[in-house]
Amino acid sequence: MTGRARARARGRPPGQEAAIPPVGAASAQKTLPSHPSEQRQSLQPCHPPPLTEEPGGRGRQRGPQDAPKTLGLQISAGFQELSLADRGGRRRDFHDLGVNTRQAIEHVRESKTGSSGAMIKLIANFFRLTSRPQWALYQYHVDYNPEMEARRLRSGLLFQHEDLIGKTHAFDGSILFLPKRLPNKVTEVYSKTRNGEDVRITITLTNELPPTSPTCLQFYNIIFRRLLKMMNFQQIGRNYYNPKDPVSIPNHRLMVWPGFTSSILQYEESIMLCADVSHKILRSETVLDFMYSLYEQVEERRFRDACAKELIGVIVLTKYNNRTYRVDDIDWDANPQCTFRRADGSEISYIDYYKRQYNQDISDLNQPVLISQYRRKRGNVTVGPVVLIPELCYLTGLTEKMRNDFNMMKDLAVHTRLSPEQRQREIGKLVDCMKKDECVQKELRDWGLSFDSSLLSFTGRVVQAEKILQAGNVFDYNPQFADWSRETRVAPLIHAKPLDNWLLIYTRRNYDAANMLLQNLFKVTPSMGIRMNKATMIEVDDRTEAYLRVLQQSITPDTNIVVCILSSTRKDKYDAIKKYLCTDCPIPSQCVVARTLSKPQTALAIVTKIALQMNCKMGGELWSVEIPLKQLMIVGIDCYHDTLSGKQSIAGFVASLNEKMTRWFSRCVVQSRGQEIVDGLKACLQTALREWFKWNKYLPSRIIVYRDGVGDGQLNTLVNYEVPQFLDCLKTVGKDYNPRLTVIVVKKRVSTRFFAQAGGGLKNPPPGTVVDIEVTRPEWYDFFIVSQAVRNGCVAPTHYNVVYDTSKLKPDHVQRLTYKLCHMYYNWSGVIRVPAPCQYAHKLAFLVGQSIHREPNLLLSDRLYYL
Amino acid sequence: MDPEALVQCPYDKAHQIRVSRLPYHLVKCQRNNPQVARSLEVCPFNARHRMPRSELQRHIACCPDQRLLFNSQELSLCTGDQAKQPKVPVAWQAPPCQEDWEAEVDELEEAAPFILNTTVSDLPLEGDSSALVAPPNWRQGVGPAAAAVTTGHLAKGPDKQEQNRSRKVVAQPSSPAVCAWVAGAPLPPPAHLLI
Repeated sequence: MTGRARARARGRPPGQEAAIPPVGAASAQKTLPSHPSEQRQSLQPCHPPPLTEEPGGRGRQRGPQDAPKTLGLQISAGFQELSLADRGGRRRDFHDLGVNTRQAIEHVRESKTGSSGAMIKLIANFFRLTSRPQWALYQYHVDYNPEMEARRLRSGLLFQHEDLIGKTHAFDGSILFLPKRLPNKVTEVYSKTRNGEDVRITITLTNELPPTSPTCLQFYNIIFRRLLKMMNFQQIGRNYYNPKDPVSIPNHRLMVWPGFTSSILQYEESIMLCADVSHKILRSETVLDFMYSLYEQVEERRFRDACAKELIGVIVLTKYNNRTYRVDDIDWDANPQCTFRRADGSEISYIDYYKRQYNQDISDLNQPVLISQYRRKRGNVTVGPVVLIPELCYLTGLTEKMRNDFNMMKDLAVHTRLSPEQRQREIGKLVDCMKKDECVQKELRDWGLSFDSSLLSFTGRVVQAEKILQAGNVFDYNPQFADWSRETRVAPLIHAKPLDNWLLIYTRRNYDAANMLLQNLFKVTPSMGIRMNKATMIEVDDRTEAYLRVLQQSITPDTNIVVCILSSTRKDKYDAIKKYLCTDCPIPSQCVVARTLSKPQTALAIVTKIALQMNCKMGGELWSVEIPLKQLMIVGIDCYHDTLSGKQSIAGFVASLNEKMTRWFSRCVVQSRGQEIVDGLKACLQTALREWFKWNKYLPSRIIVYRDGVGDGQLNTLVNYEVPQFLDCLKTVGKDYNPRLTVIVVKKRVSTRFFAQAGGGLKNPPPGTVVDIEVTRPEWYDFFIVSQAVRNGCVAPTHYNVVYDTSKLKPDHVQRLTYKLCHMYYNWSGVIRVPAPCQYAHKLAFLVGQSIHREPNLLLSDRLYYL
Repeated sequence: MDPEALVQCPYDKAHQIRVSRLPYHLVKCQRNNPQVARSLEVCPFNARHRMPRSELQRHIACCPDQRLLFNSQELSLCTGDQAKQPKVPVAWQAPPCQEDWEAEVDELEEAAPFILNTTVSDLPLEGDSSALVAPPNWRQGVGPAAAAVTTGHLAKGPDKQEQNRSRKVVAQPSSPAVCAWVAGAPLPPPAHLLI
């Protein structure tokens, strides 16, 4: 172990090390001659495997500590990315590289493509990366003798030899990438520091990387980010924005920064750049402005609480350095005149600091300060909280209130919701920009890289539309609209639950609305086949306690459902009602805001929807589609997080109870805050299987799990943590129960976009478009489906990744089954973005996470009470 | 629990892991310590709880996530008592499917016969012994016929409950799998047997 490695293991900050240079230097000298590049491998055991969960901190801070790590890196290409990832972000494998699930699924190793459907010409937001034939990237390891600590110094010393290594290079302090091969495998050069010290630099060739190696992919992304920076794009989060070209929406005090999200990855056939338009919404309002306006709205004694409620958790942008921070706390005892100790030990006030450092003036000297905690430690050094001045912090993003403001969202959509043609034009602008920028072109030329100038085009398939089955009827719908509300309006339902004994609770003011609901229900229910008696009508005061008292007094064991007319969208009343009726007294309930019933012209349509929803909540069934598989159980899982208010996360689990996928069993797991990976799946699946058995008198021979809510970079954990829970559970059912299991990860938030070529222009691809070539990943069994129809803007395809599959089903059938399941969500008579079980699981987790906060009563679990 | 709190990794006592990162760490540590992994058992209620085999029973008795299953027992009692056994609605029957994907799967498989006692070695799980092992005399017969015999034998009465552990269940598309514990007998008490 070198001295530095030992120091690192002991957790000594790098500063102390400088005090004892002989140890580190000596041992470094000792090791140097002993590793000519061939014997390098034998050194490996010296370096303990990293014990941290996420190896590597931020490159800039870590600086010289890279060196020992680099030695350890050369075994596996996978680790090399860690030391070369671009700086400033949380270093995670966002692209789930290295999760090779396809090779374990025997029947798709050869081909994972489907076959059915009509061909359609598509364009996707991808550009091929092209490089010269026989292109390779040369990776070198750079050693300094005597050891140099500062990374900047290391670069400076190395680049004194620009004539040797050339102008084109990427260097992180120890690994050097060059587009060319140096004449010798090991090159020794000498540099002089400013102090006149001679330094021997050893540059050793360690690797010749083909264009498709994982390290190369990482390298492309770094180079591309460098190009974006050259074009003066500003990095916010993972994306890059152009602050020079903002769109201002003055009447809502908003500002939109256009930008791009980009990634370069190995796709099915080639390495491509995926670029999509992204918008950052800034408010031309500082935190201080916001506090002022809040002060006028609330009483003085509630002001601090109100501020905390509104501000903690929001992301602010400081324009002086274009950085974003999360507000974690407000320090009311401090103000800008307070002082703090700088790194060099001098005391300085915030006013002076901001004036000197950023030339920013602070006018309100009595404002409190905001505290932003760094979310993690850097190595062993804990970085203190960052203090921000409200006056200099601009609010970003939209609040819930703004989202509910219809006019604002409409004005915003003009700029952010782009039609397929507009979007293609915006993406094209990025490539144009790159073409026009001479520096960018030069950099690309020097590396021997270039991008295709036109978007990727290929053919997809549009699978056949489904037939909607209702009692005694079979309907076709117009596949362009993916909606059958008109077609099925008057048809009887598959299974209608009678409304024999039900409560209708309303306040005096809403008597008319309640009456209207009742009359219209009498109009619409007969054609659906719902038998209905007059409701028990109860008038209450508009107070939460009044509602609860009525519920306690009036509910009998025979009550089918409770309908409450609420006078506002106030959440507390809704929460209280739902909590009582989902846990203590398990009865389906339907809440209706009175205002939605107020328009006579739409009343009938709305009441129809309410009637359908009530029927589902009581255990009724609306429609079905053909499922050509027997004994099949479908499971859907989704998670709900409310990290802002620090509530617990909820995992919703939904499993089908019959072969027609019309009845669903549900459970949920309450987990710690922000947890995406589910711990209690075994118990969930066990109860689901038992419930299935009760219904069918046999166990399913196939189980297909749709898992939604998986973030970037979590795929590996999902495969190795959740899938074993399912397998474990199936094993405990019985030694010889061996059903076929398929686990499919569903991802809604992808930057892939498809455009259909129609005539001269571009349109959204029609619902049912399946893509399983070109833009999928070779190491996965994955595909895209566009299942929904959108009226304006670009449709977003949903990505499906089959991570475990013993079903032997043809890829075509898995794709079509997935599309069929997108038809089965009963709260929307149309096709939705995800399979119905995922949406049900989402709904369940949302209700529990927002209102109930604990597992609902299991007596409700075979009904869709959470719709 | 506070997601930032530290807990000890079951595979390496030296590892202190934040609660929120534990699943990610367990995956990694399980792979790095295959020997330790073989000796550890996973709690049926919460996949985070991993302990030596000897401690599993004691843990199951006091696991904080146990309610998941207790509730489900309540459920079975409730539904049984009130005779609210759900019935699959018979009013509507789906028209016969025009396709049969099962048939196409069978084509792919070259009509491989269904085999009982399939080993679990093809599952990517290491060191898991939570599956119940059937007594050796039950392993002689292979095939659906043997399974039928076993289920018949098991359904005799509650005095045979102990042997219910090795329920023979056939998962063959053409003949629905039948479970022993439906015979009206109450569920076997050990929690890890639950389903």
